[in-house]
Amino acid sequence: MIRLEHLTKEYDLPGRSAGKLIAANALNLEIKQGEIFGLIGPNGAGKSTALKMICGLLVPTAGRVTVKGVDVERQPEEAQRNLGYLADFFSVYDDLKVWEYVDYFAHTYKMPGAQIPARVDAVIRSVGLEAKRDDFVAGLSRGMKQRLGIARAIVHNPPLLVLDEPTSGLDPKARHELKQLLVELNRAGTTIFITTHILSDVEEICTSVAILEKGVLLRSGPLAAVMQEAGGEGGRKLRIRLAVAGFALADWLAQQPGVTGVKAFNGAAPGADFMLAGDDAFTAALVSRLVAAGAPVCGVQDASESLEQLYSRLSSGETM
Amino acid sequence: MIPLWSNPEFIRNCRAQLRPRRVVLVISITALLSFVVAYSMKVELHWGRQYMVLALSAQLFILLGGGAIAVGQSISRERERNTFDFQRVTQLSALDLALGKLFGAPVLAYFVTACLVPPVVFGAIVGNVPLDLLLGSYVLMLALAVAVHAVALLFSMSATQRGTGLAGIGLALFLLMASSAGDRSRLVFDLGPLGPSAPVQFADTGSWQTRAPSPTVSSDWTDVFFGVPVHHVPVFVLLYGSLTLWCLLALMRNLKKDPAVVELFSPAQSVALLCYANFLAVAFYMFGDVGHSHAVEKQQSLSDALHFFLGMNLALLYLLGFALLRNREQMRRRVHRLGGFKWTDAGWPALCVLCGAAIVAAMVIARATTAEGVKHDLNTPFVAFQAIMMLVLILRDLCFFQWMNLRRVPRPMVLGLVFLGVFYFCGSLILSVTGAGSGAAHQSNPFLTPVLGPWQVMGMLSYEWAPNTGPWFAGLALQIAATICFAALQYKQAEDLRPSAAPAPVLLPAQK
Repeated sequence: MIRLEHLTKEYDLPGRSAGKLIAANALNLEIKQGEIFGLIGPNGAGKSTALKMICGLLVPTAGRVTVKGVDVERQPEEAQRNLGYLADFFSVYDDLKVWEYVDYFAHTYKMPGAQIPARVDAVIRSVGLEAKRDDFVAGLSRGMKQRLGIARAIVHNPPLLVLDEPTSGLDPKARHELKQLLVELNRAGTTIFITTHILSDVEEICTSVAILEKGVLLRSGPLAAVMQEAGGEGGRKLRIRLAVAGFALADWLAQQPGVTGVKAFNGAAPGADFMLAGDDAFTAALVSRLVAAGAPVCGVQDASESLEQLYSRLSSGETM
Repeated sequence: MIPLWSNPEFIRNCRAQLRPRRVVLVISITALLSFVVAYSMKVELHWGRQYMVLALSAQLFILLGGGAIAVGQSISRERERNTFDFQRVTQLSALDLALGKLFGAPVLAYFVTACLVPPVVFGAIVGNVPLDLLLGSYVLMLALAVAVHAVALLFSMSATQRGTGLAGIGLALFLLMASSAGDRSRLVFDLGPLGPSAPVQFADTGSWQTRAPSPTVSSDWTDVFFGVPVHHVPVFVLLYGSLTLWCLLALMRNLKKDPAVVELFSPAQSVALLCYANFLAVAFYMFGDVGHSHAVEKQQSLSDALHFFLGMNLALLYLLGFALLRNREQMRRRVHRLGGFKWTDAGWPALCVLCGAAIVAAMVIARATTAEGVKHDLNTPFVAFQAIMMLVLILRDLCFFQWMNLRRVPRPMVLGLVFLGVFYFCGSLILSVTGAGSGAAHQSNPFLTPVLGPWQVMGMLSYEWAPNTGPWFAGLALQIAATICFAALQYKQAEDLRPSAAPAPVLLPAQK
């Protein structure tokens, strides 16, 4: 659906000899149809720049972007036909009514005139603004304006949605509703490309992810693959806790097949962290053998890294 | 192209600006004011005509002033509010978007103007003004308003954060230039009034008659196009209509583009614009064979004509060169795509300006030498030297500005203008203090003027130049050397824009 090939964007840093900022450094990326793709990175990582180049709003210094096989720089209007775009900081036309705003964009996307009234109503309904249909946009709350922005982006039923920080600034309920809406749109066949700071959102809804820092891609791919790769070759990280001390858990684990990197810890509930190469059945068999060996097991938990921990480990400490 | 009445941008502006409550308010206020003014003027003699002129002037003021302000803010304000990017990603073509803004942004001004039509017609009837003149006046007003709005839209597109004020100044200068281009005294062009008051003048004192060229009869409303008398109204509409089209061309090329790589016209289009301007100037210029339609008859000489066109084209070539200058971002993209900086890029935009100058020179010389009644008093080597010297000066300055534009300094063009201003000022000061520009001082130190103030060749007479050709050719060589020097500096500056080393390849799970 989207393909970035050696995409590069350079800017001059302010100041006479301050050098240049490489907002995108020869990015190569492919986003397949039907994905919810999350691009994460700290402020200034180049996320919005990459996104604007995908939409044809910025021209790359070098490299190219294609959307559904169409070169965005050469045929911007053809490429833009396939995408709906929402910026991070955006405003709406306060002097229009909600339905007029959506109607305006339906016409700008050259939808057939006869279909527009029904489509406008359907889109307003899908973002939950039907009660505000005839109100002026100026009177909407921040969350409602965000939903109106989504309505604008989807009014022409694009196969690709490109959203810059869509959940930032929303209250928890509005965030939840927006995520639900995105998942529903994705189920209906829309590919979604989002940039965000909120890593829990990415873990919750994204199928693929890329981590960008200072214009360089640190990791990219399906979310599960990225997380698994982050865990290393040893498999996933598990933690076992015992009810009481006395059992040589670390020694026992070290002798088991598929177990590596055992680290014991003491405390109110002593136990050990280790890497286990194997599936859930392999884990169940290990725990059964441990109980049979007489260990007073009181808890087994997945201690794999969260996306946030992974990001912190990979990045050079930039703040999200 | 979408018809205007179904252009979404036009409809959006109509919806936002013409809400029923506002419409009623505007109608009420204009009706009330029109009534009060008519009542207060009724005591005066010929009040009907005066009332019409007043109402027409009000229309013109609202349409040109209010409309231009609305259009002038239409893009810059959207950029500030972050709504413009959404329009850029829609399927509206740049032309549709431009037309929607051109007629949509000033829709309230048009509406107020429409509300004032009944008082104007009333005044015309009372004042016995023929309604066909009034119609002609409205045609002029519409052509002028659309052109002014198109220029304002172009300024709005090009304006940066602080550009709105500059755009206003630019627009005012444009109207001032238009006012002086078509002058009543007709000393240069055989053209009627082109300024903002022309529509009102036409309704007040106009006529549809085209006078045959005659040495004693003068008519403000007859123009002479290559010696043929034509009525001023179609000429006015053609001139402002073509200005609108050039503006629309620039808008079409750039409106949806990344602002960092905006280029008003392509090199070929810039040269075409230069040729078009010269074509009009040549067509309406009062060579020796004209002056028939005016009381003032004067014998034009070939050198006068060529000096005029040289002066005019100096300004046009400067503008053409400025429009073609590349910024760092444009040059960086070029360097990345070409894999390096080519020597042919170093003299940019000299080659393009040279091409334009050559075409224009051929056009002007062809017309000037074939026009009837021109006094042939030309010192060809001297005029050729003047033209070449001035062209080289332009190329030198443009190469300097291109170099400055590639430098990493804040506001490089402003800095370039300051540097150049200081250079010209100091040069002029030294020449004026030493008196080297003319007379004995020039003879005693013949190299000072060609080196420090070579532009003074424009004001020289051929007999002053003839004894000093050696120093002047040395001055020309010096200017050529300076041009080459600035081209080399461009080349050096472009080294800074070469691509960085590629990053270390990152193994991506999706690409394994």
